[in-house]
Amino acid sequence: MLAKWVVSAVCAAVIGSFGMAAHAAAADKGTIAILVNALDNPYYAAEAKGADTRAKALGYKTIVLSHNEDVNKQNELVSLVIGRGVKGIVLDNADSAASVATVQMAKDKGVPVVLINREIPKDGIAIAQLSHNNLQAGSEVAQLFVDTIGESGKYVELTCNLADKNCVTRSQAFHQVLDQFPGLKMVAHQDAKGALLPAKQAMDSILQEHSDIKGVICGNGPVALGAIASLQSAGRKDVVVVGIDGSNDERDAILAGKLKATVMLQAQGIAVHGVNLLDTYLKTGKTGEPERQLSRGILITKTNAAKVKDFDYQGK
Amino acid sequence: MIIRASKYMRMRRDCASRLFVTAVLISASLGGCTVVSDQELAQLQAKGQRHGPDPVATLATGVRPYAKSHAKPIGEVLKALNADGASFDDVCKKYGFRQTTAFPCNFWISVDGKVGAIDTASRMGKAEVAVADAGDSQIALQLGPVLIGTGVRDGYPGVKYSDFDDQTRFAVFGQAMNKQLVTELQTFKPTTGSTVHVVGVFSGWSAPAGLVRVIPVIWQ
Repeated sequence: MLAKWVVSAVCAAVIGSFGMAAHAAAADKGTIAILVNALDNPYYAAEAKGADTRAKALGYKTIVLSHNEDVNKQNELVSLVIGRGVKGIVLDNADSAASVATVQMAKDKGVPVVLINREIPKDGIAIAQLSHNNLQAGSEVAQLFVDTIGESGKYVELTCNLADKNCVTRSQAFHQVLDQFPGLKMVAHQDAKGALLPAKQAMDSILQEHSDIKGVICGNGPVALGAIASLQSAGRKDVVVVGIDGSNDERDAILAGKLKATVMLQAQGIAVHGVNLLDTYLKTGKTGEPERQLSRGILITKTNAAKVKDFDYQGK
Repeated sequence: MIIRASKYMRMRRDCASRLFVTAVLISASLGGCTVVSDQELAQLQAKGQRHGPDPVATLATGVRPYAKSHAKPIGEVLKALNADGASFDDVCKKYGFRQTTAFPCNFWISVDGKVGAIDTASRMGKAEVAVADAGDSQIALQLGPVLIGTGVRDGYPGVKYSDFDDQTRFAVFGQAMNKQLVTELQTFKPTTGSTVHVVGVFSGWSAPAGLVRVIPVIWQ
């Protein structure tokens, strides 16, 4: 009973903080739950916004919740929304491997789940797994990094969050390119937990020891912005910084000449596609498309940065 | 919950009393646990896992025959891409291949021409080739040892992303294919002024501007 109260309180708090309690729409097609990571991260907020807007446009009510990358909380929230009778769930899961059981539980209860952003290592449980082509994103930005700093010199890698498989994949993509150049020496490699402040702190510390670096390659946008904040404080405008995500803040940093490049992940696009597939499944019992699908990341430099807005690329 | 039989045996040896083991078994049973052998556990863990085909064999028996039969003169392809009002997607459908819009379009092309400058100082070694109808584009054959891009993997319809469990395995496959090509490319030693006939692939999200980097798969 106590657990139920806790879950309800958490749920209510999250819904309240995001200002998106279940919304009534014109047609009563039922409710879709949208579960993402941290809503104070622009990427996840854009995902939630994209899914929420599309679901309402299709006539569904929505519940938008955040699990804050906590697997236990994710399980509680999924159980909660299933208990509330949702028609389906759009989920950016908290952990690729640990979420298999969560998705299986929903399937067993007859609630279809569309996974967005993060895949799970099993097929046939979710009705769709839509993720970004992180390898393409990582490879393209790493190639640009080499083209900019040259084939030799010292560099730093700040990863986004190595508990997140997407971050691991991006790091692998970086190294698939960078490790082919023996002249490039990675002098520091630190997990900045995907956030600006830890990245700034890490970079502050790294700069003390390695002042002769030519570049910093970052696993996501907040980390890149944290590295830039540190380099700016140290008066180091010569160090090349690249990242992946494509938030409005990164766009502005590129236009200001502080960030060399990023790759914009189509957060809204992937979420909208997820809702469309869920809607098709609810109507027909199948999505009609492959379960695993990738979405392209768009390399953003000064030449096209102005087209980035809220993780959407204007004028595609 | 799954408990390996070997683990169960260790548990059993470590238990102070038979009663405790019985209690564990009852508890496990009530909790929906299943005792399986190591072999069964391995089978369960491998269930649904897909590692894709062998990259070296795929390159030899899949990619190369496909490339040979689908390659068009690079000048013809570039002309189509740069034509007034040309739709990149339409040209991709006619001359190229991409599995989904998550990937760049991959164009299988033949390059016939005289070799110009050769750069082997860079790890991204290349040989420029003068080609008819190239327009403003400069054609460069990638020589390695670093090959840029995954056009060899992505331009072949016989391999799909869904043949693999995740992006990492898909990447490893592409990397192995490029690595094999780099090894074989050591036999390809174009010299300035010589004439080459190469079948290869270049990739892009839009009509190329400037340098077109071709990965050779068949060369003479």
